[in-house]
Amino acid sequence: MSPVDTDKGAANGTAPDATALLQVRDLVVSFPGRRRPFRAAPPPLRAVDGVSFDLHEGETLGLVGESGCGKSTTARGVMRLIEPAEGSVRLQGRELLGLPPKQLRAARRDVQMVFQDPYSSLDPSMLIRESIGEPLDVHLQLGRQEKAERVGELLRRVGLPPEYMMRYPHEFSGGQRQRLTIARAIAADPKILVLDEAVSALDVSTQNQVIGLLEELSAAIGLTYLFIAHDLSVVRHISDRVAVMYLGQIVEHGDAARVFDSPTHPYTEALLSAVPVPSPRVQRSRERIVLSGDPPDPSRVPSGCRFHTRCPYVMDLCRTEVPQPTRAHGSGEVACHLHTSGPTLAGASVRSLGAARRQRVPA
Amino acid sequence: MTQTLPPSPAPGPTTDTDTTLLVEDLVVEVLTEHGWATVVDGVSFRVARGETLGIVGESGSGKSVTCLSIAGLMPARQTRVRATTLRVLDHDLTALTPKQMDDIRGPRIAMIFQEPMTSLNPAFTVGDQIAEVLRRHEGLSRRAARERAIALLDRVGVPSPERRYRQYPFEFSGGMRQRVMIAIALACHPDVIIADEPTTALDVTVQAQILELLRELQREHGMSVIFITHDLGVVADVCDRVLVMYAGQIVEGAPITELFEQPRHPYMEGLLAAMPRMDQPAGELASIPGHPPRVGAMPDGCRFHPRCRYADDRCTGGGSPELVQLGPTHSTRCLRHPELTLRGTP
Ligand SMILES: Nc1ncnc2c1ncn2[C@@H]1O[C@H](COP(=O)(O)OP(=O)(O)OP(=O)(O)O)[C@@H](O)[C@H]1O
Ligand SMILES: Nc1ncnc2c1ncn2[C@@H]1O[C@H](COP(=O)(O)OP(=O)(O)OP(=O)(O)O)[C@@H](O)[C@H]1O
Ligand code: SF4
Ligand code: SF4
Ligand SMILES: [Mg+2]
Ligand SMILES: [Mg+2]
Repeated sequence: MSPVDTDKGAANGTAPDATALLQVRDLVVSFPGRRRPFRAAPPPLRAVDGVSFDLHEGETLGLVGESGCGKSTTARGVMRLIEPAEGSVRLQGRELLGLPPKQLRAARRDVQMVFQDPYSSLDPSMLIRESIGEPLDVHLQLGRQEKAERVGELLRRVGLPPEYMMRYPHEFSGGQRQRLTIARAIAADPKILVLDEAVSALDVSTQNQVIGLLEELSAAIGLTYLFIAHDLSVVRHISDRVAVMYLGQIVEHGDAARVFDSPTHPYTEALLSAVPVPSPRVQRSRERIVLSGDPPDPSRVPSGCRFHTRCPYVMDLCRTEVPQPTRAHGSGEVACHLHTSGPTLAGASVRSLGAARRQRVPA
Repeated sequence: MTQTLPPSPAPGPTTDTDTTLLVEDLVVEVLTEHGWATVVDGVSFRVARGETLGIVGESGSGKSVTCLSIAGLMPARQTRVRATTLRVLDHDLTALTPKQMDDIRGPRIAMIFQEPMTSLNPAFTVGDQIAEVLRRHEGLSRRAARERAIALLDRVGVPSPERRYRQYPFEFSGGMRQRVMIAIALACHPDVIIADEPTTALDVTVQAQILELLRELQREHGMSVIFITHDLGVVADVCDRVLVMYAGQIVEGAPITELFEQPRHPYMEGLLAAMPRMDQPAGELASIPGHPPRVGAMPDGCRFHPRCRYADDRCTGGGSPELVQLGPTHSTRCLRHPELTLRGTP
C-alpha cells in the first residue's frame, strides 16, 4: 500500500517525500517456504509484502497488528538485519538497500533497535559500562575517561544512578534492564529508535515508567520512534500516527485519534472492538465484533482482499480484486473496496455502516 | 463465525446462598533458598454457582499459587498448604489423599492454563487426550468417549472436529489449543473451572473469541469460574466479582462495577490509574512507584505502605491490617479507608 503519510503527501503514494526522515517504499521481505518431501520447492513466504510508510522527525509511528502479520520483519527489513527482496528504504534521502557494508554500518548508527527481551540485548558477562559503551567504541572512538563520563550521563538520562555502570545485567529488574537497553540504544546519538515490543514484557507500572522515559527522551533530544506493539492501548497512548498491518500489508494508517475513533478498515474496526476497556460500564455496553477463525497462514494468502475470509462486510468483488489505497476522512489512507463500491464510504468510518450490514462469515 | 454481540447484562450484586467453592484462611509456604516463606497469607473467599470471580494483582502476588493450592497442584515436596476450610460443594478437600484429589479434579475442579502447549501431551492426538479424560472420570467406553470428544470439540468451536480429533497438538494454533483445553476442562461438567491467564498468550481477536466461548459455556452449564488475569480490561469484560491480591494477601474484594468505580484500597486505585485506555486520548499515565516486596521480606504494617501515596504513621508499624468488611459485598485491607476518597474509572 502507499506510504503512511500525513495529509501533505500525495495520495498516489510513490511520490518522494522530502520532509521524511525515513521513507520506506514497497518493501518486500520473504523467507524460503517450508520444504516438504517429494513436493516441488514451495514459493517463498512473503512475510512483508509491499509495505510503505514515512517517518517524520520527532514523531512516533505506531505499527500494530496481530501475531505473525509481519511487524518485526518490517523492522528487520528496514534495518537490513534481514535483506529485503524488493523496495526502497531511504534515510534522510539516502538509499540504504544496496549500500555496501561499511557505509551501511555508519548509516545504522542513526537507527537503533530495542527489543522486547532485555536479557538478550545485554551481554550477561559484561559490566554495564562495557555494554552501554560498546556503541560508543564502534561509532565514536572515545578515550577511557570520556567514555565513562558519557556512560554515566546516559544512565542519568534514563533515570538510573551513574554508579550502576559497575554492575552486571542480572543485578537489575526487568524495568531497569529495559532502561539500560534504551541507554545503550541512544548511546551513539541515533535519530530513530525502532522499538519492537519494547514494553510488552513489563508489568503495567513499570511499562508506564518506560513509556514516560521514551516520551521524555523524544521531547528532550527529539528522538523519532517506530513503535511496534500488539497492545493497542499502549499504542494509542504513545503514537502520533498509527499503521495497521494484516498479513504482510498495511491496510490502514492515519493520525492516532482518527484511526482509533473513526476506523475506516473492517479489520481495524474488529481489532479495536476486541480490546477490552478497563471500565465495566463502558466495556459491557460496547458493541463487540467477534471475527471468525484464525488469521490465515502467510504461505497461503487469500486472493483479492487478504481479509476477505474473515471480513464481516465481504462483497463478491473482494474475493477477486485487490483493493487499492484511497484517502481516509481526516487523515491517512485505507485499502478496502467499501470506500469505492457497495456503500461507497469514500473515506468515512466503517462504524457508520452499523451492525445491520455485517454478516456471518462461515469459518 | 463473525458475530455481533449485544451488550452483556449489567453486573448485579451476587448472593452467597449457593456456594460451590469455599476457601477459609488459606496459607501457602514454599521452600526457598532461605527456608520456608509464606507466599499466600490467609486468603478466604467463596464462589457462588454460576459466578465468575476475578483475581487480579501484579506478577508474584500469589494468584496462581492460591489456585494451584486449591486444586492440589503445587509440588508437594517444596510446598506446605494449610487452610481452615477448602470445600467444593460438600467435598472437604483438606481431608483428601492425593489419589482422592485426582478424582475430584476433572469432575469437580478443572483448570485451564496460559500455555496450553505445556498442558497437552505432544505425543498423543488431541482427540485421544479428551477421550482419555472421559474414560477415566465418566467410565465411558472407547467408542462413546470418542463420540463425546468429537461433540465437545465441535462445541468449543474447533472446525471439522472429526478430522481435528486425529491431529496432534502442534498442528493446532494457539487459539485452537486453548479451545481444546477448554473442551478437556468441560469434559466432566466440573462445578468450578479455574482459568489462569487463559487468554494472555493469545491475539486480541482470538482472545475475544475465547472469552465469548467461556461466557456462553457458563450460561449453558452454570458452573463457577475463577478467572486469574492481570488485564483489568478482561476483568471488566467477564467478571461478576473481583479479589485484588497484593503480596500474598487479598487487599480488596468487591462486585465488579463497585470495585472499578469506587475502589476502597489505594493499590486498586493505583492499578486503575496505570491502565492506558484505548478508548481515550492520551493523557498522563500514572504508575505505582517501586516494586512489590520480595517473598520473605514483607514490610511491617501495611504491606503496600512503601508504595502508597496515602501512607502515614499508622501504616508503617505492627502487623498487617485486617481485611475489613465495608458492607455485605465489599472489603478492604486499608487502615485509612474511612477518610480516603479514591478515584475509580467512570
Ligand atoms: N526467520 C524466519 N524464517 C521463516 N519465517 C519467518 C521468520 N521470521 C518470521 N517469519 C514468518 O514471517 C511472518 C511474520 O513474522 P513477524 O515476526 O514479522 O510477525 P510479527 O508481526 O512481528 O508478530 P509478533 O506479534 O508475534 O511478534 C510470520 O508468518 C512468521 O512465521
Ligand atoms: N513452586 C514454587 N516454589 C517457590 N516459589 C514459588 C513457587 N511458585 C510460586 N512461587 C513464588 O510465590 C510467589 C507467588 O507466585 P504466583 O505464581 O502465585 O504469582 P502470580 O500472582 O500468579 O504472578 P504472575 O502474574 O506472574 O503469574 C512468587 O513470589 C513466586 O516466586
Ligand atoms: S475489501 Fe472487502 S473483504 Fe476486504 S476489508 Fe474491505 S469489505 Fe472486507
Ligand atoms: S493502610 Fe496505609 S499504606 Fe496501606 S493502603 Fe491504606 S493508606 Fe496506604
Ligand atoms: Mg514481532
Ligand atoms: Mg500466575
